[in-house]
Amino acid sequence: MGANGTDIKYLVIVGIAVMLLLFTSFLVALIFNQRKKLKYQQSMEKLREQQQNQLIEAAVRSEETERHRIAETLHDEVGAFLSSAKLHLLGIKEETLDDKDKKLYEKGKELLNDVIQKVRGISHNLHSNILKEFGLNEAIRHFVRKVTEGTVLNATTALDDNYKTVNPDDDISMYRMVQELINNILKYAKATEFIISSTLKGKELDLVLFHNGDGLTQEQFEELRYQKEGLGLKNIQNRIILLKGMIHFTSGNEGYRINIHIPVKSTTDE
Amino acid sequence: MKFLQTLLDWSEVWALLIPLIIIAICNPKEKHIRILRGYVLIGFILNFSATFMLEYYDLVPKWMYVNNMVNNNLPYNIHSIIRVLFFSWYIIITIGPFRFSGILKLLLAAYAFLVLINFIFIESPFFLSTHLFAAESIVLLVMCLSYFFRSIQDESHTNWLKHPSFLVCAGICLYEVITFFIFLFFYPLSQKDPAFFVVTMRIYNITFVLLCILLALAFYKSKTYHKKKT
Repeated sequence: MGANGTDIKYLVIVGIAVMLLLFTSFLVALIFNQRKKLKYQQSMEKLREQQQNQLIEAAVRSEETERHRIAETLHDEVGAFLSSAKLHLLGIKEETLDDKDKKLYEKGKELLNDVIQKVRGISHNLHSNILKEFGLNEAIRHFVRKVTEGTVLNATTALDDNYKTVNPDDDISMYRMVQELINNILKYAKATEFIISSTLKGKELDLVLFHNGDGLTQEQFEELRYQKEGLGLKNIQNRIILLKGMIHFTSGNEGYRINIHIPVKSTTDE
Repeated sequence: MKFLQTLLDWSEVWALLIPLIIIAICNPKEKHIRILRGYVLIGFILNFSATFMLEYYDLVPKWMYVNNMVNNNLPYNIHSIIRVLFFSWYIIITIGPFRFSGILKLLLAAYAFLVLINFIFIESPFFLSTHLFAAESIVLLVMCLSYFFRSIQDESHTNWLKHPSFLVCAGICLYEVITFFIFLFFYPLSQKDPAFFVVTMRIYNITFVLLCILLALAFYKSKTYHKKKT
């Protein structure tokens, strides 16, 4: 054969060049393939998230519809029956009754009045009429006033009136979350001070609930919302997912703070 | 200039110090990466002995002489075998159950058989075997191609580009594609074009340094990758 030095030299150079080219092609193919796969996985993840959100939305909406149905039944049917029962009761001539029956009559009237009030309260609570007519801020103020009246809890509301309803469904979700959180505070926190405030920053609404009782930390919230007993917290989390917002529980020396961050369209977008 | 020359002469030794330092700092404990730790350590000892025998031949005891001369080819031959065994083991374990796993194991067995035949009947172990180096390149290139093929086929959520094994395989592949032709024409080139032969040896040294850097990066990434996973 007798290949000379130059031939061998070129053979080595060309050989290395070809091998390098093949190696680079493989690498490029691998990188493209991985990127494509990653994009596909991301789109699948997005789709799954969308489906999950749709399910949550359907669950929340059906819950709201059911609340309305129960509220209307309570108001229109139970309320009407109770009012009719009261009318019948008032039809009894008091002067014909002896002392024992008079006492029973008074007690019955008192209990009936209490039940009518309670049913009306529950119905209003479920129906959120104020929310629809006067907006989120007024509904929260009214709710806070109502639930803290006659309790040791000293409540303060400082809500940003620049916030105007854009999507009524979002307002219902926010209102339900606030309701649930305040009910929890009343039930478990043994607080004496409570402040609820909101700030509208462009397209974001920040709600802060502060109290000086025993509250939850973020870790406890994460843990409890997966438990059966934590149904309320799970509902809060679902509504947060639905609103694409964030909730954060923190504790400090003065008390506990719940920060809710919700993206909303500002009034200028309307 | 002399310093640069010494640096290049000892490059096969200090290059392996790079992954060794990273191992000492990061202490990667992942099961698969332990195989590479073994290779780096053995490779360092072999390369150190080979370079030491060449640079300080007068210090080599007489009983180590071959045909009345200092001969450092044996550590290089052993290093080549070690490289094939450790890297193949690592790749086979990393890619896991795979359609061609059996073929890869068979290829490794055939390599071992050919090495034995070569050193028993054809070449002396004290002779720098170009057959051995060519076989090494073929086996490891097939292994690396299998790895790339497996990663392309894989339907799991593993991002192979971020996996430490990608750096290892890319390093091995780069090293083997360059050294295949260098060692295939090792003897003819050293006789017919000594000047270019020196250049190819320098290219070989640089490629080996690159392989060691990629191994070091894989050790470093292994620690952070598994931390992220846990």
